[in-house]
Amino acid sequence: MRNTRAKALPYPVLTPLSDDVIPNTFSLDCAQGDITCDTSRWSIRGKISHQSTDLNRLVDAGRAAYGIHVECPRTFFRAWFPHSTTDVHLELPASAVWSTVELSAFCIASKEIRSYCIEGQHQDYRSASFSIGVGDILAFAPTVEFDAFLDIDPVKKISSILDIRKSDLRKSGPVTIDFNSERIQLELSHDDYNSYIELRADPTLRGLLASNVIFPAILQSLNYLLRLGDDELEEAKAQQRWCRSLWAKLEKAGITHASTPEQIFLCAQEILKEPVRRGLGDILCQLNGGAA
Amino acid sequence: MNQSGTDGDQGGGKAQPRPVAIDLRSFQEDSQEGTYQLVARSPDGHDGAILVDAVTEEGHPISCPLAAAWDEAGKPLTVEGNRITGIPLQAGQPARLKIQLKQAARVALRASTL
Repeated sequence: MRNTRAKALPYPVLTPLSDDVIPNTFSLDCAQGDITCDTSRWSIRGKISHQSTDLNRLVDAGRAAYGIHVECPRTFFRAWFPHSTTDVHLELPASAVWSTVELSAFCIASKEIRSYCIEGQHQDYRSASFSIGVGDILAFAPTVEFDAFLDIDPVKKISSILDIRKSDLRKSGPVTIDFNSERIQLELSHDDYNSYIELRADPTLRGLLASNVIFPAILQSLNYLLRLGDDELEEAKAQQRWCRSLWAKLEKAGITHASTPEQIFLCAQEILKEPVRRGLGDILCQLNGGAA
Repeated sequence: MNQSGTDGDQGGGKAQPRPVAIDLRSFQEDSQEGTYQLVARSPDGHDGAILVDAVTEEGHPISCPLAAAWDEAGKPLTVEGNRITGIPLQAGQPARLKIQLKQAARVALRASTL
């Protein structure tokens, strides 16, 4: 259940998705770093924010409670985590969720409320009061989502997301790229691959290889990711390790589908720690007889 | 007033009416009687029938036949199934109605013109 639009419930509901109640603040705030994982569990911390003294009063009196509904569509995981305060902390078994996880914050009635009305309810309701049953939603926040992948690595080693292999068929010709595997598949012709292996053996040429071989592949991979539609992207992240890793890098850099090619170009360089500078440095070093 | 639709359509097909957006706020008045108060608004105005549906949490419609409907002054309106006729909606102005469901139930409601 994703909260993305107002629900026409037969009583006023506090949510930023409608003007049933004003001020209509009710949100689940999770800052960067509030959602963490180790090998066995996800830990989620956050805060429910609202401005309703009536809700506070009901919760304090035990007549209403906050809670987080967690749902993972891919694994069919669903759970309800009640909270008695606006401070949210919950843990999920790592094995229970995979890919998109939806967090929906609610305030629900925990006892019957016979004459419910809430300060700030829309004037359409005039002075009406409402009969609220146990479990009825009094307030809800737009759903917050996060990607639950335990193996997102920050591309510390580019080999974790990219394979460079030799073509079995082509003696020469261009490098080809294939995005449909766990790692990006970069295929060099027979001759190029032999050159690559020879250069790779020399640690002073790593920057050169990064700028010449890896950089164009990573740049093209970022462009590939950013061209995917929402569903395609979800599928790619679920299926392919390289997508998860690079997407995490894009998110960290604030790159979105709306970002400019210039921003993507800079991001690719950041991922590879300035490959052009390193490559030029390697060439200069070689020209100077090994001195940097 | 926006029912004729398809201005500028070329071709020989019969013009199809355009749906008019109806914003609806509803709340239960009497759970035993199955009565609800509705406050309907249309940004563009509408003079014709409106359909009232119950909806699930995901927004899917559920059959919701009406027993009766009244305007704000208590005057009965013509009801057929889930269709109420003769409700003029002035653009942006709220129109208050009362409806009674054939079968009393606690439901979420929405309104449409098609």
